[in-house]
Amino acid sequence: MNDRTDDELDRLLASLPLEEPPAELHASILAATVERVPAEPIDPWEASAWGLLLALAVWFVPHLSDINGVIATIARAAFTLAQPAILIWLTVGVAAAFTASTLPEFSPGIYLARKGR
Amino acid sequence: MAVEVHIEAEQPRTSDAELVSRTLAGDPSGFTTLVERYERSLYTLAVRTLRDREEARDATQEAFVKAYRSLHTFRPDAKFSTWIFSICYHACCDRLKRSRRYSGEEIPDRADAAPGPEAQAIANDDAGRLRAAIEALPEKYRSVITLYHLQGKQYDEIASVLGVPLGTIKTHIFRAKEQLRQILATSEREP
Repeated sequence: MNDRTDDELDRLLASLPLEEPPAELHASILAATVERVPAEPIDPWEASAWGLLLALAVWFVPHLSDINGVIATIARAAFTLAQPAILIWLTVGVAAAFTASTLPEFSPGIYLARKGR
Repeated sequence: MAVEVHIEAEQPRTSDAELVSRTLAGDPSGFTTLVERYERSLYTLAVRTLRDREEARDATQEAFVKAYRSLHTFRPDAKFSTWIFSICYHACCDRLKRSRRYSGEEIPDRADAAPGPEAQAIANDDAGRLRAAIEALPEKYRSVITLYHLQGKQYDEIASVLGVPLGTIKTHIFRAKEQLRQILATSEREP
C-alpha cells in the first residue's frame, strides 16, 4: 500500500540528514590536495650531468670492442681541451653565461612578454 | 545605561566559481572551502551508491583529489556541484565494477523490497526508515534518488551527473519513489 503522497515523500527526503563523514576524512583530503608538497624539481646541473653520462654511455657501447681506440679518442679530446687558448675561451664563455643568468632583467621570457604587451 | 547591540551582517556566500578561481590563482583556502562545502554531500552520495562506509570514504577522497588535479579543466560557466558530483559518481561506479570483477560474480541488487535485519534494527524513526528504504533500492535508483535529495529536484543536473537522458532520469525518479513508498509502507506495517 502506497500511503504517502508525492509531497510527503519529498518533504521526508528533504529532511533526511546527510551522512556524517569519518572525522579524519577532511584532513586527509587536504593533505592529498592543497597541503601536498610538490616533488622537488630536478636541478639543471643534475640533469646536465646525467645527460652527459648517458651520451657518453651511448657513444661508448658500440666501441667496446676497440678499447684502445676509445682511450686514444678520450686522450685526444682531453689534450685539445687542455690547450691554453681553448681553456681561455671556455672560461670566458662560462663566465659570460653565468653573469647573464644572474641579471634580473636579462631573460628572453621577460623580453618576449614585454614585447607582446 | 545604554546597551550596545551588535548586529553582524551575514557574510555573502562566496560562489563556487570564485573559489575555483582563487585556487587556480594559488590561494589554497579556496579549495579548502570547497571541501568544507561538498564533503558531506559527496560522502552521502558515495555511501548510498556503494553501501560501504570504508569504500565511500576512499571514493570521496579520490573525487576531491581528481577534482583538484583537473581543476584547470573546469569551465567557469558550468556548475561546480554537478561537476564534482559527476566525478564522485564515476569514482563509485569504478569501485563497484572493480569489486564485481574481483568477486568474480555480479552483485545482485536486492530482490526483496524490505530492508535487511540490520537496517531494520536501526530504522526506528522516519529518517532511519527512509535511509534503510533507500539502501534497499536497486543501484540505479539509489544514486538517482540521492542526487534528487542532494541537488534539490534539478532533473537536468542529475542527468548531467549520471550521464543519462533527462527522460530516463524522470522515469527512474518516478520508479524509485514508487519503490520507496512500498518499502516504507511495508516497514511501517511490521512491528
